[in-house]
Amino acid sequence: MKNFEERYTAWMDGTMEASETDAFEREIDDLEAARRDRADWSKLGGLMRECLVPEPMPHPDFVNSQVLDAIRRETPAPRERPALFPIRRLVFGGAFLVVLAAVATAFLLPRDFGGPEGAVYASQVISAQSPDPKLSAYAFQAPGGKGTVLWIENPGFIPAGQSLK
Amino acid sequence: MRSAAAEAEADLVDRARRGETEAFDQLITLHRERVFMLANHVVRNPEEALDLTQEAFIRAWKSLAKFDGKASFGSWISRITTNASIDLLRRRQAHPQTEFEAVPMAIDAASRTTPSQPERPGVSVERREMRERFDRALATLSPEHRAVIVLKEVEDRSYKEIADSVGCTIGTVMSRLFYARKKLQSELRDLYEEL
Repeated sequence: MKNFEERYTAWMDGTMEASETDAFEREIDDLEAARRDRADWSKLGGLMRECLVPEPMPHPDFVNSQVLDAIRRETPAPRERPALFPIRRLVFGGAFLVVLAAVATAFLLPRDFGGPEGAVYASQVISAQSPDPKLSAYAFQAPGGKGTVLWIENPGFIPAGQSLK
Repeated sequence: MRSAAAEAEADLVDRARRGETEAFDQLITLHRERVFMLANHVVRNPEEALDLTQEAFIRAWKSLAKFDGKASFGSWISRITTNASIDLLRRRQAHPQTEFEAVPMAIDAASRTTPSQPERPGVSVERREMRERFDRALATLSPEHRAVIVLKEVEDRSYKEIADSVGCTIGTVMSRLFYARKKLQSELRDLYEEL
């Protein structure tokens, strides 16, 4: 649905359908004033076209040389727009992702330094099941990977036969 | 089906897109007068219009890869020119002292434009005064309203062509015409009442 301004403009310019014109003219409160307005604009528009006559372009060839100079000086020649995923870009992208994954695996993924699973499990059981709250147990690999150490701190007593000799 | 001229122009555009400046040179020659006239109608200053003409073609060259060829090169460059002209009018509004002040007469050796031409002797004083009244009245409009009224009344473009050039809907063009005409009528009432 066109608003009043759009329909008024179409009516002023005579671009309205005849049936639409009749309907629009019935809507206008003061049709005589609107017709005077249209005649006034017709005069002013004519005067405007008469006064604002096109001026010839001064030195047309000058424009060509200026534009081409600027193009050569400032801008690289335009290239065809590259395809969205050219093969070379896909190959390099894929190779980069493989290298990235290898680096992440080698350096970033966490490692288990707690020794073999059984020792870790034993240390957790000892810590959880001991009635002595001061007791804690850890498992870790001995330096140089020579064995697994089950380290127990603050034991209240050591069963006979298990103490270090 | 495209005419032979349209085919030839499309060929020039293709060659220019591949970087052939000779082809672009021919495109400039085909459209420069039209572009200058359009810019001059909107900004009402030949020196600035000449600068805008150059700017429009340079912008077109830089954007050739984006030109899809759905519209003609002429329509496309018209749109670029109209936008560049509106941008200039906005800058002028931000610095209004440049609108009607005399242009300095000293010519910069590095200037990209030619010196302004003297008034043609055949143009009467009365006509010149009237033109200045129109220029002053047009300067009271917003850049968008000014571009629309000039494209319609002076360039005799259709609503659709104006909408394409300015980058808005036909309804917006018609609304802007309504208000621009009202404003000009109130500014220039004495001119048409004398007729």
